[in-house]
Amino acid sequence: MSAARRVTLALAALLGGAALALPKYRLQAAPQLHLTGGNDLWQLDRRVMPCTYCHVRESGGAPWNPFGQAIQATFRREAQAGRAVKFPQALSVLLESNGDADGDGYPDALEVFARTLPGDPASRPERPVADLQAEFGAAGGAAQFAPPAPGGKGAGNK
Amino acid sequence: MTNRRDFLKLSALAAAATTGMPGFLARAAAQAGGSRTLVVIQLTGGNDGLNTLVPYSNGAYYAARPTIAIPKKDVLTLTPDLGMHPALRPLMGLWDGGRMAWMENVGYPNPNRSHFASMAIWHTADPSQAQSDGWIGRLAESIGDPFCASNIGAATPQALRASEFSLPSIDTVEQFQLKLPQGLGGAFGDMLDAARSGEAAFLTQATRQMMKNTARVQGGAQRYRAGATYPDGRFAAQLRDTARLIAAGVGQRVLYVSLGGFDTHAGQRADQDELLGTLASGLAAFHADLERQGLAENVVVMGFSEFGRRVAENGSAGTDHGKGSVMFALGSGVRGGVHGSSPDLEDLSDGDIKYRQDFRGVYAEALSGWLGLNAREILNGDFSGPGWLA
Repeated sequence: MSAARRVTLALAALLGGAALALPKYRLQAAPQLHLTGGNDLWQLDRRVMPCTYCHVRESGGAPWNPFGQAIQATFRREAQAGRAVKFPQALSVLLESNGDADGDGYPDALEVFARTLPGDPASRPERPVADLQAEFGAAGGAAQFAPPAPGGKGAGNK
Repeated sequence: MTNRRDFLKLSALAAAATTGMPGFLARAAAQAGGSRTLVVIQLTGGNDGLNTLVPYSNGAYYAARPTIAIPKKDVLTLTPDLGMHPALRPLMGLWDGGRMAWMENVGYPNPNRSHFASMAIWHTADPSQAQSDGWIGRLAESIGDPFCASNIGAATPQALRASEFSLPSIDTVEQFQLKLPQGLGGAFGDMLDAARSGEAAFLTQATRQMMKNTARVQGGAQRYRAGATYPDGRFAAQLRDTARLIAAGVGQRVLYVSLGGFDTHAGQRADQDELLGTLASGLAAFHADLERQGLAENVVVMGFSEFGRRVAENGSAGTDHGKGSVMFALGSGVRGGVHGSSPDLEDLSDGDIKYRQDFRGVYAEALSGWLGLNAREILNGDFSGPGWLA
């Protein structure tokens, strides 16, 4: 193998790392939902926001879990109402609605706050709802998951 | 004995070894020949062709897209059946002037819905995925110059990789020069002044040439004054850099610019509307700039995306990965109009349009008709296009 080819392949291997980054929607959602704190490499770390946040399978793709389906339904409702919303806005609208997609007794926004999976009833906070709700409210409630301002880093960078 | 081809490879290595900067651009002018430039626009993520060139007279389009179709009243009418997305309004002047072409129903055999695989197919111009080098890389090999084309951006796409070298990427023209840390200039000069022989001598010579020509490029670029006001944003800035390189007269035959974000699985209207606006306003400013500088006659823009999207919208007010789509071209050398027939939205292939125009035919016309190169050699076959050049 020539030196030039070795250099090219080495550079390609380095650049290939970009392909390992989180997919587009999770790159938007993770900071908005305050899931990136303390992890400088969060964009490359799928544990920050696993596929099972919205999907049934750990590899992602169809089908979606109840929280993923709730996001889809939010997009549909907004579009039917003539509103064109991007992913961060749809997420915010959903969390503000105080729904409980997986029916485990903890509203979606509260699960996001407690860092459990809002689409998996087996994943839920250990603390009582009332205690958690009080802390969540004191922290700003669902408004803390508002979409980032255009061109800004948004509210999600705690 | 080192021949010219080896020298070019070594020169490329010298550039990469110092700053990664393509310092031989000015030299490329003499080697590549020709005054025409092809600017390739890559719409990354799979742009939805049906909401770009809208079949507004087709009831099947509106039936398949109850929430995301472009209302007929909003469409920018081009023909009795087709119109542009309203966000493309900045390009209407080019359309009205006969300098904008749309290529309908473009794709390739055995379509692949994977972003990675389909982009590789468009980059290599090889649906069998047997080749790893890109079509612009092969173009550079055909010309015999590793600096006759550049990507404007951070990472070189596969389209610009040749079998033995990778064509350069220019992140910004301002940084397109050798910048040594303070105090190292003398040591660097001493290193270049040292007597060397063999390949080391070629590297020294290549580095000197790189520095000399880079200075020429910088001189030309610094004299550039934009002839139009570009919108804010990275895409427009990259187009302005593209115009600067063309105006600097560094002789590049192909310049490559990407705009990403077209993977519109959810909330398509919000995302695609904005992206098409970015595309159109940037390209309109770019063309106006070139016209003001008297360079528009020598530049053609050709745009593509790795695939289109499915005909029916999904449950998230978006669309999923599809197959064929549209391509577009701009410039004085373009035969304005819609080329090719529109897809039959009631005769689909697994929910996707059936492509009719192989994208390699569109490439072939750019290569042979615009750049005067041997398309058959570069594309490894004969492909007929829709006749989009004037």
